[in-house]
Amino acid sequence: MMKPAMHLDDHSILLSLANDKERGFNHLVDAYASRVFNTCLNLLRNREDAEDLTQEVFTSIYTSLDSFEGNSKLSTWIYAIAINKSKEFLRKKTRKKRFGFHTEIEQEDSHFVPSAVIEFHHPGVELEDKERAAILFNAIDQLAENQRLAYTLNKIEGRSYQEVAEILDLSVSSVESLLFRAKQRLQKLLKEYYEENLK
Amino acid sequence: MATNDSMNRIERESEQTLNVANRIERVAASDALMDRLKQIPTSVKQTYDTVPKKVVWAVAASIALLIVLNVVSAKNYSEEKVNSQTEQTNSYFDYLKTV
Repeated sequence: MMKPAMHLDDHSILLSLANDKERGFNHLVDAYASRVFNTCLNLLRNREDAEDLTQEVFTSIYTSLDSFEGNSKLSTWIYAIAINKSKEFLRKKTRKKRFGFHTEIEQEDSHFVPSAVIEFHHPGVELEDKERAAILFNAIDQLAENQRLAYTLNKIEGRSYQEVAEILDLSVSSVESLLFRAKQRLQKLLKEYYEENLK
Repeated sequence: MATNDSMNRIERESEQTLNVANRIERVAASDALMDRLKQIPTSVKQTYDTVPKKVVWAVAASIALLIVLNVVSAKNYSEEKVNSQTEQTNSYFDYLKTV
Protein backbone atom coordinates (compact mmCIF):
# COMPACT_ATOMS: atom_id res chain seq x y z
CA MET A 1 0.00 0.00 0.00
CA MET A 2 1.21 3.50 -0.86
CA LYS A 3 2.28 5.65 2.09
CA PRO A 4 0.52 9.00 2.10
CA ALA A 5 3.20 11.64 1.47
CA MET A 6 3.56 14.46 3.99
CA HIS A 7 3.03 17.83 2.36
CA LEU A 8 3.28 21.34 3.71
CA ASP A 9 0.06 23.30 4.14
CA ASP A 10 -0.60 26.45 2.08
CA HIS A 11 0.63 28.80 4.80
CA SER A 12 3.95 26.97 5.17
CA ILE A 13 4.35 26.81 1.37
CA LEU A 14 3.85 30.59 1.11
CA LEU A 15 6.38 31.17 3.91
CA SER A 16 8.85 28.88 2.21
CA LEU A 17 8.31 30.70 -1.11
CA ALA A 18 8.99 34.02 0.57
CA ASN A 19 12.27 32.71 2.00
CA ASP A 20 13.53 30.79 -1.01
CA LYS A 21 11.50 30.75 -4.22
CA GLU A 22 12.99 27.54 -5.66
CA ARG A 23 12.71 25.57 -2.43
CA GLY A 24 9.19 26.85 -1.86
CA PHE A 25 8.26 25.91 -5.41
CA ASN A 26 9.45 22.35 -4.78
CA HIS A 27 7.11 22.17 -1.76
CA LEU A 28 4.30 23.55 -3.88
CA VAL A 29 4.94 20.89 -6.54
CA ASP A 30 4.93 18.15 -3.88
CA ALA A 31 1.62 19.37 -2.50
CA TYR A 32 -0.22 20.14 -5.71
CA ALA A 33 1.26 18.12 -8.61
CA SER A 34 -1.08 15.14 -8.26
CA ARG A 35 -4.16 17.29 -7.67
CA VAL A 36 -3.49 19.50 -10.70
CA PHE A 37 -2.57 16.46 -12.79
CA ASN A 38 -5.89 14.79 -11.91
CA THR A 39 -7.86 17.92 -12.77
CA CYS A 40 -6.09 18.07 -16.15
CA LEU A 41 -6.57 14.34 -16.65
CA ASN A 42 -10.30 14.49 -15.92
CA LEU A 43 -10.71 17.30 -18.41
CA LEU A 44 -8.43 15.97 -21.17
CA ARG A 45 -8.64 12.20 -20.52
CA ASN A 46 -5.26 11.50 -21.95
CA ARG A 47 -2.19 10.94 -19.79
CA GLU A 48 0.36 12.55 -22.13
CA ASP A 49 -1.77 15.63 -22.75
CA ALA A 50 -2.50 15.92 -19.02
CA GLU A 51 1.22 15.70 -18.17
CA ASP A 52 2.14 18.35 -20.73
CA LEU A 53 -0.62 20.60 -19.49
CA THR A 54 0.38 20.08 -15.85
CA GLN A 55 3.89 21.21 -16.75
CA GLU A 56 2.45 24.26 -18.52
CA VAL A 57 0.31 25.06 -15.47
CA PHE A 58 3.27 24.86 -13.07
CA THR A 59 5.47 26.94 -15.39
CA SER A 60 2.76 29.57 -15.38
CA ILE A 61 2.49 29.32 -11.58
CA TYR A 62 6.26 29.74 -11.21
CA THR A 63 6.49 32.75 -13.50
CA SER A 64 3.51 34.50 -11.92
CA LEU A 65 4.19 33.68 -8.26
CA ASP A 66 5.12 37.31 -7.61
CA SER A 67 1.65 38.42 -8.73
CA PHE A 68 -0.12 36.21 -6.15
CA GLU A 69 -1.42 38.70 -3.61
CA GLY A 70 -3.13 36.27 -1.27
CA ASN A 71 -6.63 37.62 -1.98
CA SER A 72 -7.81 34.08 -2.64
CA LYS A 73 -6.68 30.73 -1.25
CA LEU A 74 -3.48 29.37 -2.84
CA SER A 75 -5.37 26.26 -3.96
CA THR A 76 -8.10 28.33 -5.64
CA TRP A 77 -5.47 30.40 -7.47
CA ILE A 78 -3.68 27.24 -8.65
CA TYR A 79 -6.88 25.53 -9.83
CA ALA A 80 -8.03 28.68 -11.60
CA ILE A 81 -4.76 28.64 -13.59
CA ALA A 82 -5.21 24.92 -14.30
CA ILE A 83 -8.79 25.46 -15.47
CA ASN A 84 -7.86 28.39 -17.72
CA LYS A 85 -4.98 26.43 -19.26
CA SER A 86 -7.27 23.42 -19.79
CA LYS A 87 -9.87 25.64 -21.46
CA GLU A 88 -7.21 27.06 -23.80
CA PHE A 89 -5.96 23.57 -24.59
CA LEU A 90 -9.43 22.19 -25.29
CA ARG A 91 -10.38 25.20 -27.42
CA LYS A 92 -7.24 24.77 -29.52
CA LYS A 93 -8.00 21.08 -29.89
CA THR A 94 -11.65 21.73 -30.83
CA ARG A 95 -10.61 24.44 -33.29
CA LYS A 96 -8.22 22.01 -34.95
CA LYS A 97 -10.93 19.34 -35.19
CA ARG A 98 -13.76 21.56 -36.36
CA PHE A 99 -11.93 24.36 -38.17
CA GLY A 100 -13.69 26.82 -35.86
CA PHE A 101 -17.07 26.78 -37.56
CA HIS A 102 -19.20 25.39 -34.74
CA THR A 103 -20.55 27.23 -31.72
CA GLU A 104 -21.57 26.02 -28.28
CA ILE A 105 -25.24 26.20 -29.25
CA GLU A 106 -24.57 23.70 -32.01
CA GLN A 107 -22.64 21.63 -29.52
CA GLU A 108 -25.74 21.48 -27.30
CA ASP A 109 -27.66 19.90 -30.15
CA SER A 110 -25.02 17.46 -31.26
CA HIS A 111 -25.14 13.74 -30.53
CA PHE A 112 -22.71 11.09 -29.42
CA VAL A 113 -19.82 9.97 -31.50
CA PRO A 114 -19.64 6.31 -30.41
CA SER A 115 -16.31 5.84 -32.21
CA ALA A 116 -14.75 8.05 -29.52
CA VAL A 117 -15.31 5.17 -27.06
CA ILE A 118 -12.41 3.37 -28.73
CA GLU A 119 -10.04 6.32 -28.18
CA PHE A 120 -10.75 6.59 -24.43
CA HIS A 121 -7.68 6.29 -22.15
CA HIS A 122 -8.27 7.43 -18.57
CA PRO A 123 -5.86 5.66 -16.20
CA GLY A 124 -8.15 6.31 -13.22
CA VAL A 125 -10.98 4.20 -14.64
CA GLU A 126 -11.29 0.52 -13.67
CA LEU A 127 -11.36 -1.90 -16.59
CA GLU A 128 -14.96 -3.00 -15.94
CA ASP A 129 -16.10 0.65 -15.98
CA LYS A 130 -14.15 1.61 -19.08
CA GLU A 131 -17.00 1.37 -21.56
CA ARG A 132 -19.50 3.17 -19.33
CA ALA A 133 -16.92 5.84 -18.44
CA ALA A 134 -16.22 6.42 -22.12
CA ILE A 135 -19.96 6.87 -22.75
CA LEU A 136 -20.25 9.22 -19.77
CA PHE A 137 -17.23 11.32 -20.75
CA ASN A 138 -18.46 11.55 -24.31
CA ALA A 139 -21.76 12.82 -22.97
CA ILE A 140 -19.91 15.32 -20.74
CA ASP A 141 -18.09 16.56 -23.85
CA GLN A 142 -21.47 17.55 -25.31
CA LEU A 143 -22.13 19.96 -22.44
CA ALA A 144 -21.50 23.69 -22.65
CA GLU A 145 -18.04 24.65 -21.36
CA ASN A 146 -19.03 25.96 -17.92
CA GLN A 147 -21.41 23.04 -17.30
CA ARG A 148 -18.64 20.62 -18.26
CA LEU A 149 -16.14 22.27 -15.91
CA ALA A 150 -18.56 22.49 -13.01
CA TYR A 151 -19.68 18.87 -13.46
CA THR A 152 -16.10 17.59 -13.65
CA LEU A 153 -14.96 19.52 -10.59
CA ASN A 154 -17.99 18.61 -8.48
CA LYS A 155 -19.08 15.13 -9.53
CA ILE A 156 -15.77 13.61 -10.62
CA GLU A 157 -13.29 15.38 -8.36
CA GLY A 158 -15.68 15.75 -5.44
CA ARG A 159 -15.12 19.47 -4.85
CA SER A 160 -17.78 21.38 -2.93
CA TYR A 161 -20.11 23.93 -4.57
CA GLN A 162 -18.19 26.65 -2.74
CA GLU A 163 -14.84 25.49 -4.12
CA VAL A 164 -16.21 25.15 -7.65
CA ALA A 165 -17.69 28.64 -7.38
CA GLU A 166 -14.33 30.08 -6.28
CA ILE A 167 -12.36 28.26 -8.97
CA LEU A 168 -14.75 29.27 -11.77
CA ASP A 169 -15.26 32.75 -10.29
CA LEU A 170 -19.05 32.31 -10.10
CA SER A 171 -21.64 32.49 -7.35
CA VAL A 172 -22.68 29.31 -5.55
CA SER A 173 -26.21 29.63 -6.95
CA SER A 174 -24.80 29.85 -10.51
CA VAL A 175 -22.84 26.66 -9.86
CA GLU A 176 -25.98 24.92 -8.54
CA SER A 177 -27.86 25.98 -11.63
CA LEU A 178 -25.02 24.85 -13.95
CA LEU A 179 -24.92 21.44 -12.26
CA PHE A 180 -28.69 21.03 -12.40
CA ARG A 181 -28.74 21.79 -16.13
CA ALA A 182 -25.69 19.60 -16.73
CA LYS A 183 -27.35 16.62 -15.04
CA GLN A 184 -30.58 17.11 -16.97
CA ARG A 185 -28.69 17.30 -20.25
CA LEU A 186 -26.59 14.24 -19.42
CA GLN A 187 -29.69 12.22 -18.54
CA LYS A 188 -31.25 13.20 -21.88
CA LEU A 189 -28.10 12.34 -23.84
CA LEU A 190 -27.65 8.99 -22.09
CA LYS A 191 -31.30 8.12 -22.61
CA GLU A 192 -30.96 8.84 -26.33
CA TYR A 193 -27.77 6.80 -26.47
CA TYR A 194 -29.28 3.75 -24.76
CA GLU A 195 -32.49 3.99 -26.80
CA GLU A 196 -30.37 3.62 -29.93
CA ASN A 197 -27.94 1.05 -28.57
CA LEU A 198 -30.01 -1.19 -26.27
CA LYS A 199 -31.96 -3.15 -28.83
CA MET B 1 -45.30 -4.20 -20.69
CA ALA B 2 -42.27 -4.74 -22.92
CA THR B 3 -42.04 -0.97 -23.50
CA ASN B 4 -42.12 -0.36 -19.75
CA ASP B 5 -39.35 -2.91 -19.23
CA SER B 6 -37.23 -1.39 -21.91
CA MET B 7 -37.80 2.14 -20.49
CA ASN B 8 -36.78 0.92 -17.04
CA ARG B 9 -33.70 -0.71 -18.47
CA ILE B 10 -32.72 2.50 -20.29
CA GLU B 11 -33.14 4.51 -17.10
CA ARG B 12 -31.18 1.95 -15.11
CA GLU B 13 -28.34 1.94 -17.61
CA SER B 14 -28.27 5.75 -17.71
CA GLU B 15 -28.15 5.92 -13.91
CA GLN B 16 -25.37 3.32 -13.70
CA THR B 17 -23.37 5.23 -16.29
CA LEU B 18 -23.79 8.48 -14.36
CA ASN B 19 -22.61 6.68 -11.19
CA VAL B 20 -19.29 5.81 -12.82
CA ALA B 21 -18.26 9.39 -11.96
CA ASN B 22 -18.12 8.32 -8.27
CA ARG B 23 -15.73 5.46 -8.95
CA ILE B 24 -12.98 7.26 -10.85
CA GLU B 25 -9.71 6.78 -8.98
CA ARG B 26 -7.16 9.49 -8.40
CA VAL B 27 -4.00 8.88 -10.39
CA ALA B 28 -0.65 9.73 -8.84
CA ALA B 29 1.64 11.97 -10.87
CA SER B 30 4.49 9.85 -12.22
CA ASP B 31 8.08 10.30 -11.00
CA ALA B 32 9.01 11.50 -14.48
CA LEU B 33 6.37 14.23 -14.29
CA MET B 34 7.53 15.23 -10.79
CA ASP B 35 11.08 15.56 -12.12
CA ARG B 36 9.87 17.68 -15.04
CA LEU B 37 7.96 19.95 -12.67
CA LYS B 38 10.89 20.36 -10.30
CA GLN B 39 13.12 21.33 -13.22
CA ILE B 40 10.86 24.30 -14.05
CA PRO B 41 12.86 26.93 -12.07
CA THR B 42 16.05 25.86 -13.86
CA SER B 43 14.45 25.74 -17.31
CA VAL B 44 12.76 29.13 -16.83
CA LYS B 45 16.12 30.60 -15.75
CA GLN B 46 17.81 29.04 -18.78
CA THR B 47 15.18 30.58 -21.07
CA TYR B 48 16.05 33.99 -19.65
CA ASP B 49 19.76 33.24 -20.03
CA THR B 50 19.55 32.03 -23.64
CA VAL B 51 19.98 35.58 -25.04
CA PRO B 52 23.75 36.28 -24.83
CA LYS B 53 24.71 39.25 -22.67
CA LYS B 54 26.63 40.80 -25.59
CA VAL B 55 23.42 40.95 -27.63
CA VAL B 56 21.53 42.50 -24.72
CA TRP B 57 24.23 45.19 -24.31
CA ALA B 58 24.36 45.82 -28.07
CA VAL B 59 20.59 46.35 -28.20
CA ALA B 60 20.70 48.62 -25.14
CA ALA B 61 23.56 50.67 -26.68
CA SER B 62 21.68 50.98 -30.00
CA ILE B 63 18.58 52.25 -28.22
CA ALA B 64 20.66 54.74 -26.20
CA LEU B 65 22.38 55.96 -29.39
CA LEU B 66 19.02 56.34 -31.10
CA ILE B 67 17.72 58.44 -28.20
CA VAL B 68 20.84 60.67 -28.22
CA LEU B 69 20.58 61.20 -31.98
CA ASN B 70 16.92 62.11 -31.66
CA VAL B 71 17.62 64.62 -28.88
CA VAL B 72 20.50 66.21 -30.81
CA SER B 73 18.52 66.49 -34.03
CA ALA B 74 15.48 67.89 -32.20
CA LYS B 75 17.71 70.49 -30.53
CA ASN B 76 19.29 71.49 -33.85
CA TYR B 77 15.91 71.70 -35.50
CA SER B 78 14.51 74.06 -32.81
CA GLU B 79 17.66 76.27 -32.95
CA GLU B 80 17.38 76.53 -36.75
CA LYS B 81 13.72 77.43 -36.41
CA VAL B 82 14.50 80.29 -33.96
CA ASN B 83 17.29 81.59 -36.24
CA SER B 84 15.09 81.61 -39.33
CA GLN B 85 12.28 83.37 -37.41
CA THR B 86 14.78 86.06 -36.23
CA GLU B 87 16.00 86.53 -39.79
CA GLN B 88 12.45 86.95 -41.04
CA THR B 89 11.65 89.54 -38.34
CA ASN B 90 14.85 91.46 -39.08
CA SER B 91 14.13 91.60 -42.77
CA TYR B 92 10.61 92.86 -42.04
CA PHE B 93 11.94 95.76 -39.96
CA ASP B 94 14.53 96.54 -42.64
CA TYR B 95 11.70 96.75 -45.12
CA LEU B 96 9.70 99.07 -42.85
CA LYS B 97 12.76 101.37 -42.56
CA THR B 98 12.94 101.76 -46.31
CA VAL B 99 9.25 102.62 -46.49
